[in-house]
Amino acid sequence: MPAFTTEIPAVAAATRAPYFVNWWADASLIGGLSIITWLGLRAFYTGADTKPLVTTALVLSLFVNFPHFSATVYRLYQSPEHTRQFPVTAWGLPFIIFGAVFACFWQPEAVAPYFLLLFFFWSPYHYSGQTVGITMVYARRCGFLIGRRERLALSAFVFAAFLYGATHMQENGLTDFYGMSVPILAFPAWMAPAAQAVMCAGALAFTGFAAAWCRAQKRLLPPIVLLPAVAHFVWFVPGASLKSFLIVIPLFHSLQYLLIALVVQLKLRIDAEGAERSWRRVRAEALRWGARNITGGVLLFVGLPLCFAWLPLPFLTIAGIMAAAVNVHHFFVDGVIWKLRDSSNSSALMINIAELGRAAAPQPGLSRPVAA
Amino acid sequence: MHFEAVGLSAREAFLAAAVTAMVGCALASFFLAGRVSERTHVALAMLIALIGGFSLLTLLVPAGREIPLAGALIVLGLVGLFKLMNQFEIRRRPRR
Repeated sequence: MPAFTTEIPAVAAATRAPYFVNWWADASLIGGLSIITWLGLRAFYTGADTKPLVTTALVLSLFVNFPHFSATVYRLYQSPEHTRQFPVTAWGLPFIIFGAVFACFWQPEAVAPYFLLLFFFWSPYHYSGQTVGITMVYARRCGFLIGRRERLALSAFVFAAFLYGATHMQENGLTDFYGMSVPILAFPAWMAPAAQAVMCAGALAFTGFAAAWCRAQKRLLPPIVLLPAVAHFVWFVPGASLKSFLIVIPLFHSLQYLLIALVVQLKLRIDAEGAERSWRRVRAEALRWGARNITGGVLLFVGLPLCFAWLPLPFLTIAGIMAAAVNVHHFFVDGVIWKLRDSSNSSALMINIAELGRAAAPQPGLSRPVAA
Repeated sequence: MHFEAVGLSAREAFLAAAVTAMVGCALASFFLAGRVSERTHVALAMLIALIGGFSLLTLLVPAGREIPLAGALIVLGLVGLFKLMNQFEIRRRPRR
């Protein structure tokens, strides 16, 4: 969700709760769990044998990572109005992605490694976009307006961390994907220090803007605003040298996404149906959305590769190429769906789930009949 | 493979397929002129850039594996491509 804040109206955010659910749920899903996991793995799991963790991550993927891809597809294709807004993304792009997949199947040695390399760099870039997007959402919710300067500082920090981490991962041999080799690039010695310098400059500048805001507002900036960037730093800087942690990073990216996508989905559905707001309604809609996306995720990552199992290639290779293709498709779709011109889209990013769970209180001046 | 019979290497055969896809996107844009929005034309142009960028990647990565500066330029080029694709099929604000 790289730039999904462009449509959020500037509301009096200071009076709103900064969280989509509550402080501990938001803090856990937006980055807290990933930081705790990193600390735990660093302390107790530094060995080279990552097999048990891969198995655990695979099981969790069924409920977290795969549904996050499905949620994007579901959001684009759930309404004809959405597909009409983005015809090339909805109907043209799948052909191009399938073209790339067929090229990989056709020439698994001459094309597939480069497609994996594309995915290998695009994936952390996409994570960076989401970090910036989520930071901007929480900043807006807290009344900390991110202008051009603040966004530049934040982006410098986040994207330099990505560059540092991605090059570091390559140098440390994270080049295996579903048993296939990702080509390793050589990098000049100055590249990592340069990325670190930009990262530090961005961090200093953004911290300065945050401190200035605190001084002007005479209150502390809620830590949730900084948490996505801190988690991103952990993922790509200290986390990049811990192989066991690299395996679980996609899960944490997906958790961030699912939290916000779920709340937005709830808001849009409940508003669209005009149903009475209640916790029962929220639970039912959340379960329905969750079940659909778990099914969709299994279809994308297991069903699609099975359709090509007849090819004279190892099934792991087919599954890996399809997984990279689903990822690349997701990067495109994710870039557009958060810019949908839904009238309720912008307000959905400012909602707290409690507002959907309880009946709306009558608003003075609106609910009362106007005296003739 | 059959393409070897006509003197093409695996990579050349892939590049021929990629050029065909780029021509296909360009022709789609041409034949849809006046029937689809400017945004759709821009999206088709970006698909051409994506296919071209990926084709270049397959050509340049062998150099990037040997020459550090080439490796850095490839990564920076990829970042530029991702940034461009982030603008895929979105509405642009009119220029002032």
